[in-house]
Amino acid sequence: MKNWRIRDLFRESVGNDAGSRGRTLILGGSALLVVGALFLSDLLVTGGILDFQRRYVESGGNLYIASSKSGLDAARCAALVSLPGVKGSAAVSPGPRARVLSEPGTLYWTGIVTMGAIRLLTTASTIQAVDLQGRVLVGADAAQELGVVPGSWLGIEGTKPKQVGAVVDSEDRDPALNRWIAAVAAPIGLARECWVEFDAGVKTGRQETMFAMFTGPDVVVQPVKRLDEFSRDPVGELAGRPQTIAWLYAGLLLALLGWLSSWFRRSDVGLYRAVGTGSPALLVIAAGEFVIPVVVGALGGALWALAWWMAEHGNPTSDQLYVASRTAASIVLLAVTCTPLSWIVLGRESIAAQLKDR
Amino acid sequence: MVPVLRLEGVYHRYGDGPKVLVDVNLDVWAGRPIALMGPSGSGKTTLLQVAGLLTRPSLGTVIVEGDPVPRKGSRRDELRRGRFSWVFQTVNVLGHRTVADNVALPLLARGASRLATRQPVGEALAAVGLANRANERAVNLSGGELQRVCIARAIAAQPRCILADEPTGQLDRSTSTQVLDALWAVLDSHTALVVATHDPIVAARCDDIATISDGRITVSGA
Repeated sequence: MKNWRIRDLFRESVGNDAGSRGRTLILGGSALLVVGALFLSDLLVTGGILDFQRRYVESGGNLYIASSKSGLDAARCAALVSLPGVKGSAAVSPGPRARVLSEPGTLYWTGIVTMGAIRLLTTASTIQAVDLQGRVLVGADAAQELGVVPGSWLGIEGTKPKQVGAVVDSEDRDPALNRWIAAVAAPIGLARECWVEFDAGVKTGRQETMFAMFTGPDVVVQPVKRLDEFSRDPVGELAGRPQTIAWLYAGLLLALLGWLSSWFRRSDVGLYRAVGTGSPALLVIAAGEFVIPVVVGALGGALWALAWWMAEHGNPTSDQLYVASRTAASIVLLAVTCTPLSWIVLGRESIAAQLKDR
Repeated sequence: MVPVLRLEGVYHRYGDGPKVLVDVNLDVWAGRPIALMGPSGSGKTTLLQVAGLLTRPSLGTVIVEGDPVPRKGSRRDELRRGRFSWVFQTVNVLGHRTVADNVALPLLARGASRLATRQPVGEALAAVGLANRANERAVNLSGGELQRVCIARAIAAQPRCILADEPTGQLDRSTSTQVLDALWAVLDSHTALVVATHDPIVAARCDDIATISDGRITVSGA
C-alpha cells in the first residue's frame, strides 16, 4: 500500500495554512516582527560601526609617520605606495615658519613634500593629480587668509615667488595642516619624515613594515592619531553585539510558537496518523505548514526594515546587508529546524489519546 | 480464508488502573458486521482502539488479515492502519478544512491523487446526504452533520474494515437510517464492520453481537 504523494503533502500544508488563517497570521506576524526588528537593529548597529570606521579612516586613523633626524630615503618612501596594503605614501620635510609677502606679520608653517602627500592630507577626491612639481600646496585656511586659488602666485620671504598648485583641505586629517604651505618636490635625497597610510584591513605589522624599509638607529614610527583617541573597538563591537545571542532567543521563540500551535492541534495529528499517515509524511506537512508563514513573514519583516533604513539613511552597504541577512537567516533556520520536530514527538504519542484531546 | 481482524487473548489496562479488557478473543469477518454492545465504561471504545491499532494492548495479539501485529511499533503499522476506516465517537475532523478535504484524507494518505479522490468523495457525501456541503468548512457544520462527514470519510476510503464508535449517537432517527444504509451499502464480501452502539436498531442490522461487560466479551448471533 502506498503513502502520501509528495505534491499532495505540500498541498495539504498549504490547505492547512489557508484554512487556519488565525494561526497562520500569528506565526507570520511573529516572524515579521521578530525578524524585522533584529534585521533593523543589525542595520543600525553595523551602520554605526561602519560610520565610525569611515570617520576613523577619514581622520587619519590608518596614517603612520616614520621620522629620523638623520633623514630617510625619499625615493624609498615614495615607493612604499606600491606595497600591498599601502594606500599612499609621501616624503615630508617640515620647514621653518615663514612670512608671506602679501600678508606681512603672519607666519605660516612651510615644508617640502612629494606628490603623494595630497592623498594623505585630504580624503577629498576632487583634487586632480596635475603636474604640481615646483609649485606649492596651500592649506584651505591659509588660502582663504591669503586670498589665493590654484594658479595664483605666492611670494614667500627668502624664496622666489611660487605658483599655487592646489588648495588642500585637511580639516578631517589634521586641522593644523590647513595653515600649511608646502612646496612639491621630486622624491630625491633625504626627507625628515615618511607618511604612510595603510588600507583599513591591514591590522598588524604596520610599524614593522616601515621599520624594515628604513634602517637607522633613530627611526621612530608613530600613528598620526594617538591610539587612546579612539576608544571604540569596531571588530569587538560587531562580535559582541546583542544580535549574536538574540537570534538564538528569537529562533527559539518562533519555534516555541510553532510547538504551541502543534500542541493545540494534537487531535489533528492523531487524525492524520489514524488514517495511516507516517512520521515522514507528518514531518513534511508540519514543515510546510510552519515554513510558509514564517518565511513569508520573515521576508516581509526584513524588507520592511530595509525599506525603513533606505528611507532614513539611503542604501545600506553590502557588509550591513550581509550581517543583517545572516542574523535573519539564522533565526528562520533555527525555527524551521526545531518546530517540525514537534510533530515527530507528537507522532510517538498514543493516537487514541490524541483523538480524545479535543 | 482468514478473518479480516482477529484478537487473541487481549488484555488492556491504562497505567496502573484496573483491567479494561480481559482475555478478549474476537474474529471479525468481511461481510459479517458485528455490533459491540455494553454499558458505558465497559471497554467498547478501548476494544475498538486496540483492534484498530490506535492503542497497543497490554497483553495479547492483534492479527490483521493473518498478519500478527508485533508488540513493538513499526512503520508497517501505518500501512496496516490505512486498511481501517474510523468513525470516532468524538467526531474528529479537520475543522478548518472543507468537508471534501476531510473525506478525501484517507484516500490521499494511501497515495491517491487529488483528482482520483473526487469521484469516491462525491459518492460518499451523496450517500450521507451532504453532497451540497462539500466545499463548506467543516467547522460550520452541526454535530450531526460532522458525524455524517466522518461516516462519508470512512466509506469513501473503501477500507478492509470499518470501526465505528456510536456512529448514530448524535443523529435523529431519519438521518440515522440514512447513514446506516450508507454504511451497510459498502459492506460486501471484502469489507468488515465493527460498530459499538447502545442502539438496538443498529444491533439488529448486524450478523453478530459481541457483548462486553467488565472487559470480558461474549459473542452471539443477532
